[in-house]
Amino acid sequence: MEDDYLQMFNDIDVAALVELALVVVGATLLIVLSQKGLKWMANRLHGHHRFRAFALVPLVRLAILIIAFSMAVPVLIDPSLQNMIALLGAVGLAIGFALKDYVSSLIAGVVAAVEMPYRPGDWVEIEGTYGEVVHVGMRTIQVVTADDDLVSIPHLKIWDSAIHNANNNGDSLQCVADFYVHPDHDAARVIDALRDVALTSCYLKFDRPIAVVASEQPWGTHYKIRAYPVDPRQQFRFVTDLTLRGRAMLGRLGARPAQALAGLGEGG
Amino acid sequence: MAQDDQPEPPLWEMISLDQRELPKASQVSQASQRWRALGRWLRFGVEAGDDPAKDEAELQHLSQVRLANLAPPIDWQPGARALTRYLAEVGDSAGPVTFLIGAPECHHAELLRVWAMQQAARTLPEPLPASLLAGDSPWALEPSETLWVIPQLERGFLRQAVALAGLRNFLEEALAGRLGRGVIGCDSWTWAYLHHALALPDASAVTLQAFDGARLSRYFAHAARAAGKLPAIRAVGSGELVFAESEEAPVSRELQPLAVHCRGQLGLAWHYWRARLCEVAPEGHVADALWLAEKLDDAILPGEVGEETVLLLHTLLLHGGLDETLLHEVLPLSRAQALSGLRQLQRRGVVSCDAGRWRVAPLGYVSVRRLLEERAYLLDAL
Repeated sequence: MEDDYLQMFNDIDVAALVELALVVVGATLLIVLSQKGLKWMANRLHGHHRFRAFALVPLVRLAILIIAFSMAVPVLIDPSLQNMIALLGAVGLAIGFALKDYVSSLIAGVVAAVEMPYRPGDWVEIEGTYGEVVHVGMRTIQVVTADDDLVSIPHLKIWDSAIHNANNNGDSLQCVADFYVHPDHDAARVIDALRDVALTSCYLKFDRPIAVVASEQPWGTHYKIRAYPVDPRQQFRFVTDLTLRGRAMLGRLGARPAQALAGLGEGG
Repeated sequence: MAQDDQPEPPLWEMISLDQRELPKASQVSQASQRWRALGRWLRFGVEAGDDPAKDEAELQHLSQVRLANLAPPIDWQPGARALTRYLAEVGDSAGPVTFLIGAPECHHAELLRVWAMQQAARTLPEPLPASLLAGDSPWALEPSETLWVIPQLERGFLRQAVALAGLRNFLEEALAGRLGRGVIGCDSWTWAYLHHALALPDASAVTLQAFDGARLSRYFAHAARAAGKLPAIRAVGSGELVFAESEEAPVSRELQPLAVHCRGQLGLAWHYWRARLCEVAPEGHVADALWLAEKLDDAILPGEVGEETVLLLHTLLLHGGLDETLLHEVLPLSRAQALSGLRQLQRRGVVSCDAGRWRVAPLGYVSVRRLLEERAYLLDAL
């Protein structure tokens, strides 16, 4: 049995080792250069061009890895069907016992590169962590939160967790500013005023709609301004701007803030 | 007469906003522009490659006196007459209010003041900032038969919720015809904003047709000729004459790149024209031969432009310039932050301050517009 496995491998001479080393070094160099180059380019772009450039990062790396792998395998083994089945069987057994999660993340990384549930530059929420994807690696993605924490999340989360992509793989990210108003107010005027608050924000993206929605609650009325900033990275400043100016505008209209009632959350 | 015996289009032509045609660059010029844009993006210097007919280092700018003769301030009276012709053609179909849209540096207010004098129309004064912030209607106007004119709508506009409501009320009254017949001048950036925010009707907006290279050449030649003999002006790059030797000769194409750069805006082209005129004579001696420098002296923005700077520049354009106290009202920046940013831009020639009012400088406008386009901010149509 041991001899069978050994027969799979080619004779590894100096030429084969050099060839293998060249493939590995070449692939590594290409990956590093392409990743740095694409990120450098993307960071000089804005809007949808930035997202398209970022989206290429994992795809290019995957393409280089596949090419390098297909060049390296024939150097090591005779790639016949019988040999491949035997090798993959052995490798599968080892992975099944020892490196299950690690390899699951690697495979999920390949799936993520193709399906693109997240790309660098996207704003995602995964199991309670919300932030901007700054790097999509082979095993993990790195997310920078609003508090400037760098969080690494393994790709395997895509198998069984909900991935919330706030900008839906584009350059438009909807922001929501909430207002809680006492029942005694003129709703039509409040809606008009909140719409004007959104229209006059310096962060507003004009080619996306603005919506002001209201829902009646036991303690009063809950208003939401839904609008889009020019750049997803402005979302927190945009919401702050809407909130502060919205509150001032409501005060000017005489609409008082709702008083919290103990035991009554939203929806009753 | 034009080259192919087609009658020349009028120099001053008033058209509806959607009919304006931007001057087109030649393919060589487009390739050159893209190369320069790539250079800017990669942040390395890209200069013109061909050997110039004249070394620009040997040239010096013209004195203010000479410039005042060769390129005097633009006389907007022909523009006002073009507006009269346009309004006579469209008659009552123009609706109760006509908006005259002008890009920054295109002096729509001056044109309208001239027009108001020609028509004996009533010119409404600028509202006070305090009344805008209080949400009052910017202009209190009783219905009357007298034609009224607002030279600068942007002076009644603040990107602020209370002020916007006041302006909306005024414009609703005016557009409904309850204030009589009027003409309103509006900066193209303010118009872009109000068109989105208040859904102002496109049909009532008019503007001057863009000045292409031929029109610019005719205008500048006419202005220089009015001050005396038309001097020979040669382009530094090609050595060719910028103006035709006689009125019958073909119009030179030397000014087409300038027209494209300025998006056909005469007022903007006028600033570049004055900045590019040079002579070789030593001081005190007036040379006959003049040269038109190759380089467009755009103000250069900082390498990395931060968000605050972009917001400042966009706000200045949307309001047709603002004073520092009002900047604080419309931007989430402290007065100190705004002033610091403006002073840095002023040192680079991107913005200027005139009597406390900050605005994007003429030679900074093209760079600023390009920046805002890259960052996907709302742009004007002109």
